[in-house]
Amino acid sequence: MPELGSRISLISKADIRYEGKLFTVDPQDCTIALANVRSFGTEDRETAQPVPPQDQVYNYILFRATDIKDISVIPTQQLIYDPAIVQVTSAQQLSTHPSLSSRGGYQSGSGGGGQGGFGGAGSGSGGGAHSILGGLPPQPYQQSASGFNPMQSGLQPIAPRPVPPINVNSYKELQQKWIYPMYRSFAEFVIDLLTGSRSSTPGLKKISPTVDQAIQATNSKLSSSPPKHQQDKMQQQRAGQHQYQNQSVAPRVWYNFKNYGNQQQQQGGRWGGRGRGGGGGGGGNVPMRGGRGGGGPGGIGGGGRMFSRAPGGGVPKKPLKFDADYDFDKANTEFEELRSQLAKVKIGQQNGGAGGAVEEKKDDSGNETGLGDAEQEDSEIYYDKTKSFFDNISCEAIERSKGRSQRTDWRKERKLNTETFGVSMSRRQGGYRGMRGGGYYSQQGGGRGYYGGGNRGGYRQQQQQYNNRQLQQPKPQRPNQQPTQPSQQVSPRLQSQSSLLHFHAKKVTGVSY
Amino acid sequence: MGIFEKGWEKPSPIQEASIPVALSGKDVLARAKNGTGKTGAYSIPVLEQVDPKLDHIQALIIVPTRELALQTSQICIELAKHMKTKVMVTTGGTNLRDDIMRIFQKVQVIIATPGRILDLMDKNVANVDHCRILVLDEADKLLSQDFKGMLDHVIARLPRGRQILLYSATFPLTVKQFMEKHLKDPYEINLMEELTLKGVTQYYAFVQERQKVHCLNTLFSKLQITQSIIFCNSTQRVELLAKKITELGYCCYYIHAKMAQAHRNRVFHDFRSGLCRNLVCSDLFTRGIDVQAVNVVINFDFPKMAETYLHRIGRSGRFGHLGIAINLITYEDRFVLHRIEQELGTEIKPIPKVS
Repeated sequence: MPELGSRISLISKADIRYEGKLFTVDPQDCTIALANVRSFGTEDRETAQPVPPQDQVYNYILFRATDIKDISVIPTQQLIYDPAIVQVTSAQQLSTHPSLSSRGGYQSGSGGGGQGGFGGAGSGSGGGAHSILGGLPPQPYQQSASGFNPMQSGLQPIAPRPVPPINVNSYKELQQKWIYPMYRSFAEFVIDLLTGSRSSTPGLKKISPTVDQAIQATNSKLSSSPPKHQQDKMQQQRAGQHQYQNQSVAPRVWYNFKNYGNQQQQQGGRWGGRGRGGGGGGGGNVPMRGGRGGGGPGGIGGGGRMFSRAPGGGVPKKPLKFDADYDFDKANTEFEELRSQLAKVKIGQQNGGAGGAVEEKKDDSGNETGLGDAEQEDSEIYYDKTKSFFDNISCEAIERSKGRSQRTDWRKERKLNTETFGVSMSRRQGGYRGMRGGGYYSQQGGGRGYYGGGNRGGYRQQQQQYNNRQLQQPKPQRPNQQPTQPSQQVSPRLQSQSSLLHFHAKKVTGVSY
Repeated sequence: MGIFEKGWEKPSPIQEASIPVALSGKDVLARAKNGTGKTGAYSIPVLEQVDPKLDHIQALIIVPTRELALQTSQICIELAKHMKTKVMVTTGGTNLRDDIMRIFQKVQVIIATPGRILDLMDKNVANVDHCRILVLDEADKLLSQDFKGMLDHVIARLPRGRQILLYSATFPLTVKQFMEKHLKDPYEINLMEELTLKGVTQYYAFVQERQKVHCLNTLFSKLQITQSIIFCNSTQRVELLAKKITELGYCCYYIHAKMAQAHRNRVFHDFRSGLCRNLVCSDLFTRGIDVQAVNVVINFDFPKMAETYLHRIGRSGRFGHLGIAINLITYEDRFVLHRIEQELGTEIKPIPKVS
């Protein structure tokens, strides 16, 4: 089954062809959502109502499955197979820091420390939109990502790697339970959707008032900045934005408003955010300003795009990688052994009359040996519907009423954190580191530097980014001067397009600027 | 009411059992599993009993967390779509002034967290003299020490003939005292035969503390995660883990109670709309949060309490969907693992071989 995130070509019943990344498939509503979608119009298909292609790229279009005529996956290799290309990255990941991809500050890592929670409220919405553009969410995991996954660091190979197969035997069964429980394959699933055979599907409520009823799209105006993860070169080459020429084909604006009671504010905030920060995603900058957006943070996160796009500001950091899989089997076998060993020890203790191990005795009694199943447990009924409405399971409330504090010793916790997350991490205690470095340092900023750190960090970041921008000013590249180096400098025009391409100098036969 | 528009075709068991009783005006004590439609079970009778012609607060729905308040209010607003009833949500972490202004514009139903509504009552902004219905969702949590008797204060301000509805999946004995004190001959609805969640398959993986991140990475690559929620036992660990996950190259958000509310809202919203696959969180999200796409819950840190465990794993397997819960168990956790298995009468199996 094609992974979410793979490129899909889809023809609606109105014979309009769309291309985009598979974003979600919703069996409930019988819809398929594509991200970064372009409409290629009716092309040369015979139809009563020919529709020209559009240059507009939509963030997100939701298709009604029943109105889809044909759907196919475009192999990603096709798009970038050229021996001359060494490396492809998308525009924002000129920095190799993996977390930079999570531009929307609140994704972990970016933004300053606790602030990291949000990086910059201002950029928050930008980040959200960005996520769609970047196809972040559809990537189930790193390996399956296509070469354009912004989550990948720029240094990683671009070829789409095959999805690691979920092991077949014992897991297959599980897997079926977990996902699309009813469908064995995506194809089956889609066919099912297409034929609309799922009678239990709730009725399609969102009826698009447009000609092409299959689609509901995000407001194109909001996505007016060119998406950066276009894999389709054709799309890259088109620059200008057209207004709709044919109003009747304009897809209906669709955005799933989750009105949080505080509707007006939320909406206002969100639109503001999307509109400005939208295409670009914001770096972890200007959190304070974003905060002013009211109910929906991010109203004023406009700066985000400009700065975040500026390349090179990141501290190159090797992404964390594990070579081998964690061996669950081995660990669990070990665990079982431990348990049974313990049981033996326990018995010895019991015989010796050791009273200190009451808790251990009780808790360990259910092991495989079946020994020591203490009576006290049998007598204790945790929940029996027939006897009482109430239960007797362990809970915070009771623990506290017994006066047992749940608060953990911070020393202990720090030690634990060091053990879990490695030594360098515990330095976070420092708190305000985010302030110092601005920009990307703020990723490591401390939890308390929330506003202060973030704010100043943001400011610094702007500066830093600004400098970088200057550095990155397009020196007119004369191909005859540096032909042997793979071009590190890329014109801003290219950057603002979806990808940065590195070419083998030897395989490039001609360069013109 | 916008019930049909919400796509709710027929009532879930808890809704079927509790709606008529709640409509009759009786106090209700209802226990039903996570993700079986409790919100609908109380919001429908609440909205039904509210008279839109009367301009005062007629019903109060109290929930333990702000995110849950947002989620609940969203459902109520959708349900109230074709009624003239005005529903508002008020929680801590938002502008008090705005909320005051909105209350002055008259609302009939308020969904709130305890601190904020008490504050509004103390300021004599929220007049609950005519508020006849009080709903406590996740009642046991609200009545726990965390809220230090706030609910007693709220109840003290309600009129005599009020109706109180309590909903949760867990009701420890401590709730009994409250029940005896404030509820009049409550109607008990108990739809939980046992404390296990059938739709959620539970596994453990034995790890050393330092292997947890590695283990998680492997899980990410092996599991078909639609969306996942990963629980840690402290806010700091939430942040640290989120950072690690990002370094591993996976998209993740995080949320915990020490973040600014605006940020929390955005993370919550964006996670729900599927912008990101993984969410690392503290026990802030243990209760009530309903994201149907979540099919995997990972206890990166194993909880200490059976109650917490039950609510955490209840984040997956929502409303008929299947889910799995994976628990990373360290040597120190082994007793707790066993205890929780015992208490819930459930089996947590070793994770099957992953090749």
